[in-house]
Amino acid sequence: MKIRNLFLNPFLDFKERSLFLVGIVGFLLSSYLVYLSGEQFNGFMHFYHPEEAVSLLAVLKVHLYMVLAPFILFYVMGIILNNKTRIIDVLNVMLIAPFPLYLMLLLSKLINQDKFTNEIDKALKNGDHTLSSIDKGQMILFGVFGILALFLLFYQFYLLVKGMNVAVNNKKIWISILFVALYFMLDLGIQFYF
Amino acid sequence: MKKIPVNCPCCDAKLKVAKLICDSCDTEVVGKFTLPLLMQLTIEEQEFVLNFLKYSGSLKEMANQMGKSYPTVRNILDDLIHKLNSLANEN
Repeated sequence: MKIRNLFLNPFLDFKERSLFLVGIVGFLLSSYLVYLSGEQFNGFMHFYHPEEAVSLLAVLKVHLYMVLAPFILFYVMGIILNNKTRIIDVLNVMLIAPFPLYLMLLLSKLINQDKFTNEIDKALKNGDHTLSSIDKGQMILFGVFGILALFLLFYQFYLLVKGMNVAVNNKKIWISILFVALYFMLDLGIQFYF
Repeated sequence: MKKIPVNCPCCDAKLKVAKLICDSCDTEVVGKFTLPLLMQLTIEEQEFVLNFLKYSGSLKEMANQMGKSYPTVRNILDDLIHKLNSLANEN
């Protein structure tokens, strides 16, 4: 039962201390991965490649904002919905929900997505609109990666909703939709600052 | 021992007690008696209430025993309080 809930709803069975520990480890590892790949966080769901190299501390700082900003918003919302909402439960959701994003980043680095994107870009600039110069096997691989990335993005929101529903004891669908909408809006707004 | 049904198997309405029998002299008392509030809960809910008493109301201890997270147990308790309030109002 616990193994099933590990993926379906880890917030249901696992102790807050375990979730927090795993969340912190994921936070640090993903920051290090972003730093190694020379990228920087830009919103909660994407990264960009800055022209100048960024330090690990700078990555950690921006990543911290990406966790703290939704945490503050969702904690305030949680308190409005249920005054028994605890800080640790909302914080754990904000730490655990981006795990699929971290996995997506790791996979994109493993299959060297940047190189593939550059090849596509070069082919289009050379007038190869049918992309005949690109290897078909590679096209299929990135097509599969694209589908997987979409699934992981959906899974990130799934974890966000499931976690917040447990944290505030919500059973109403419209509030779950509101969680997703708020996360999207905050992500959109925060991109202008980072 | 058989579990006492709380809701009607046909229409799901709340059941009442109509007959009580003395085990020692077979005296029968017939009437229409409402089940006590706790008896109107499901078996799982009654077990939760018993565990709540057993662990002196410590939700943390209950969460450990049930293998659930603290907010999950607290949410079950909140839902139970809400249900008991609704049942009390109905009665």
